[in-house]
Amino acid sequence: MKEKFAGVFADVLRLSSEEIAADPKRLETEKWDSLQHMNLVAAIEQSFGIELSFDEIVEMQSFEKSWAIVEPKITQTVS
Amino acid sequence: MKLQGANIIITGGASGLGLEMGRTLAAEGALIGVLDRDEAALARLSDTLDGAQGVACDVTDPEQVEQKFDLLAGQMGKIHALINNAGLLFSAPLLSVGTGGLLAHPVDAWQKTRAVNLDAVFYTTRVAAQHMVRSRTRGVIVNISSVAASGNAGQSAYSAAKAGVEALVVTWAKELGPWGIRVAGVAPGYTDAPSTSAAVPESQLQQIASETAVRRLGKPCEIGAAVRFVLENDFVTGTTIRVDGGLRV
Repeated sequence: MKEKFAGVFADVLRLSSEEIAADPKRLETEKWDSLQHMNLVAAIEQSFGIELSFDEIVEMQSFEKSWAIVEPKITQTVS
Repeated sequence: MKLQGANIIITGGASGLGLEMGRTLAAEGALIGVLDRDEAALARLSDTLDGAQGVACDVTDPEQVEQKFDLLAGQMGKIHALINNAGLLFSAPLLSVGTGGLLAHPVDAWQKTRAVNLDAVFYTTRVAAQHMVRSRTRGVIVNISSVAASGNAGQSAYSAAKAGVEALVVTWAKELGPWGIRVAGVAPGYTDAPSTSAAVPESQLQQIASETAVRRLGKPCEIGAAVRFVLENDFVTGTTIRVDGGLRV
């Protein structure tokens, strides 16, 4: 699932797998602006059939932080 | 969007087209909140629109908009839709020949007309969108435009403001779409409404009606029906629907 999640990140933000592996930070990644952030959220919600709260969306400031927020929701959906 | 149980705020909803929109939506089970500067019309709201809640507000004042919108949202709960209906129809040519010479369109009238028709739309939507985003409400913003958006002779300020309102439909649809928020416009032609009669001479309205494909002015309920369609159809966003009896064809 994390690979799929990384794929969504890479597709929306046009990042390479190497860049994803380096745990990109929102404020340090030029391609990750506020509009792209919402495109990312929309893509994640659609891909995994989950809904993120506003606070969670604000917290998604890096790839790993985002995965930490999303993973439990995916697990909940699957179970 | 399901109208049953939806909380919908209408600016300028205490009378005229706004009130008619409220009636149309309330008939489908929506709960209506009104922001309006007309306190007398607001006082009559319990008689004119059963169940509606109204708060006096000058939508050209951004601080008032923030306070009063928050107040109304506090009373109603989650806001599912905002209808930017408040408007001011003003007609004056850019230049006219008076008895004393050449008269230019008054600057204060330009500013006031732009403030009510365009600035207010920005002020209310920036507050409403925050409410929707924070609560992750897949809401709808409806901007009431006008056929004047394509440029009516004698309506510089009104035409410019309505063109701006339609541009905002596109901009906001693109920005808010990923949040699940739709933004669309409804552009009425000339309707048989008090605001129209107050701004356009009867003889001119008759001329306009004769030039319309269906040979009549629109009915307020027909505009309400268009707003209802926009709200209910979850695939409508980023577009302004003309409801003008074929005036522009």
